[in-house]
Amino acid sequence: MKPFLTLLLESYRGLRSETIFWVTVGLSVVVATLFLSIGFNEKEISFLFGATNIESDFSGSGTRLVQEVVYIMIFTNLIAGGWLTFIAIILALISCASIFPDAMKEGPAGMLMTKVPSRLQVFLAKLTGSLFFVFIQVGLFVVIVFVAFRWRIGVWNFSVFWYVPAVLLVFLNLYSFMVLLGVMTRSVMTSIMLTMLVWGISAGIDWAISIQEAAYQTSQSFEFGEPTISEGAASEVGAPTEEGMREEGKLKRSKMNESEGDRQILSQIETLRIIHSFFPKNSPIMASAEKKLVLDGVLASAGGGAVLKDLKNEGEFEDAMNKLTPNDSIFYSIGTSCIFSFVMLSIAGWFFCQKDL
Amino acid sequence: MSDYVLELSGIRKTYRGGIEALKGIDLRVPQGCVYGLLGPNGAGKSTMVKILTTLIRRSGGNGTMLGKPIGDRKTLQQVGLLPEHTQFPPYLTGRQVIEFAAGLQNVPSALTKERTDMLLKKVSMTDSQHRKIKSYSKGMKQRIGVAQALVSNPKIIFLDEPTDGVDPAGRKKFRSLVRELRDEGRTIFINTHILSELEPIVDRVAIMTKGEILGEGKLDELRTEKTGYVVGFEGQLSVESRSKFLDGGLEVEGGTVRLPSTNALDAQPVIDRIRKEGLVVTDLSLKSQSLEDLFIGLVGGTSSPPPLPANSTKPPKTPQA
Repeated sequence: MKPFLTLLLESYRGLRSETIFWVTVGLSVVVATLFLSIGFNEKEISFLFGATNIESDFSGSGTRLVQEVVYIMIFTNLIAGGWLTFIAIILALISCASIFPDAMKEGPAGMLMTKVPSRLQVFLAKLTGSLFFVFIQVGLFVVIVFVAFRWRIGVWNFSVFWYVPAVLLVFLNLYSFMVLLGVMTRSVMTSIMLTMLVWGISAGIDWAISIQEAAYQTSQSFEFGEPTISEGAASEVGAPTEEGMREEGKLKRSKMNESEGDRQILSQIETLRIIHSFFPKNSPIMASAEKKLVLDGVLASAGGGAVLKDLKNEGEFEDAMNKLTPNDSIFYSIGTSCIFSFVMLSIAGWFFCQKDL
Repeated sequence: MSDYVLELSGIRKTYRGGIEALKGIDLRVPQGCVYGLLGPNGAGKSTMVKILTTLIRRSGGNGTMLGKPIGDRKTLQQVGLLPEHTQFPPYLTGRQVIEFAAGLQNVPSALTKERTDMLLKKVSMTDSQHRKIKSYSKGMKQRIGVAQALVSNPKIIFLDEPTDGVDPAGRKKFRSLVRELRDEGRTIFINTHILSELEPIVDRVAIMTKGEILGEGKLDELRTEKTGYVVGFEGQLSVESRSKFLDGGLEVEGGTVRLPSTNALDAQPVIDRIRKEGLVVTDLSLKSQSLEDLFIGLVGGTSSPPPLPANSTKPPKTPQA
């Protein structure tokens, strides 16, 4: 156990010695503090602890709910959507990219791999050290955000802590691929570039699925959403007229053609989903954390007697949220992502243990 | 346990692309000696040390280290290594490097401080122990490297090119440290191409080139083969005399004739012939071969190793497991 802990400590020291570690932690604190600096009163939203104000009417019933929704939206769209999902992860990937290629260089390998710990232990210690780095970074950020929620809207919103495992899992998905590349090529730059490429492809497929689904839904609402004039006329008279029948025939042909198009869209969506199943599900994982935060936040306010109390009881709000989040279940997203990471790390670990150094 | 800390049989290493770095190495290293592995760059010396310290997987052959199969992790606790290209984490201090190595080697925490202090003193780094590694000179890094290799109180220590880049004072200090370690009963396996560094301290040597061991044995025994009288003279030897000497197994080079004999009487006919030609004999002395001569004699352009003296050992083949 002692050798493993020694390796962990050394990994932590190594990261702490990197300038980018402190830059990342510093930026996290700055972004979280900016969020903390946003405040509300009945007439305006203030930024930078009141240094700048924007007029906004928050009077009337449901004020607290509206304020909370606005605050959550700022968090989910800007802070989580921009910082946590992209910039923080990119910085973490860059910070940790050199860990494995460096460990396999002749000098450090002579120090690490010729002693009591097995190569697998070294591999696991390096991996744990990297995850610990991200944990510190996100943990610190989320704690400040947690305090911000309490201070600004008076809610202890524990759901914000879902972002810690969510970001860790998203990081692990990408990092596992990066580790595999790093171990195989021993090139930091190659591993960063190819990981970003895979992330881009994954996000692109995700985006393409959303577009296709939106197209399909639009097509469906056009086809079945409104009754046609001919259908209305026929139903009014009670018996089909010749003209009505001709119109109906045209409509049926038209529906058949459109169904062909729909089938194509569905087939494309299915193909994209199959391809996407091999990639990590970063967007759905982050969307799940977001959903949890929004639901808990709004329902907490609704519990106080606000306007959405009925919605809460009927589950309509949750249904509405579900429509906004991806179709795949969270278990599918987490499960397939974990499998992806496990497979990547297993191959990387095997190479790490077998390679001549 | 066997008297040998290291016994290798038919160790082979073939890299991808078919490059044969080791072509079946047989070697026995006795306990408590300074063992030198000599060879030019690319001979396969580092590859062998890397195989023994698990950095590289062997392609064939087998062997034991301290009685356990090569690669046994627990055995590595009793093995110290100073790698060829020493590179320690630059953000650590000299002291932290030794403590880090102690942690990796599972040295009990209670012993770590005491042993670190002792080793820092041994390698004369006590004053610089709290400085970061990145501020150290090459020689200081090597000394810390030796200290970290000794932290687990190892029975066998591999030093791969240990004096490479070290100044003369540092080399002298290094030699006395190696003697000290040998006197403590440890086996020191030095891998180098700097022959002059090895000559004063080594007990046994193996000379290696192109992945093969050409000769192995005690240094004195290997030298005996080429120790003999050298006759020095002034002037030009006739072609006839030169051919006669060469045919008789003598070496003629410039103004010297080297005899493969330590008997002074054997030099008499050579002196007579030189005088008969009207030349002046200027020197008659018994000269032993330097390690460098021995090395060049074995490695330099020879395709097959010359016969070893009777009392030097070509390592016996051990049965394959």
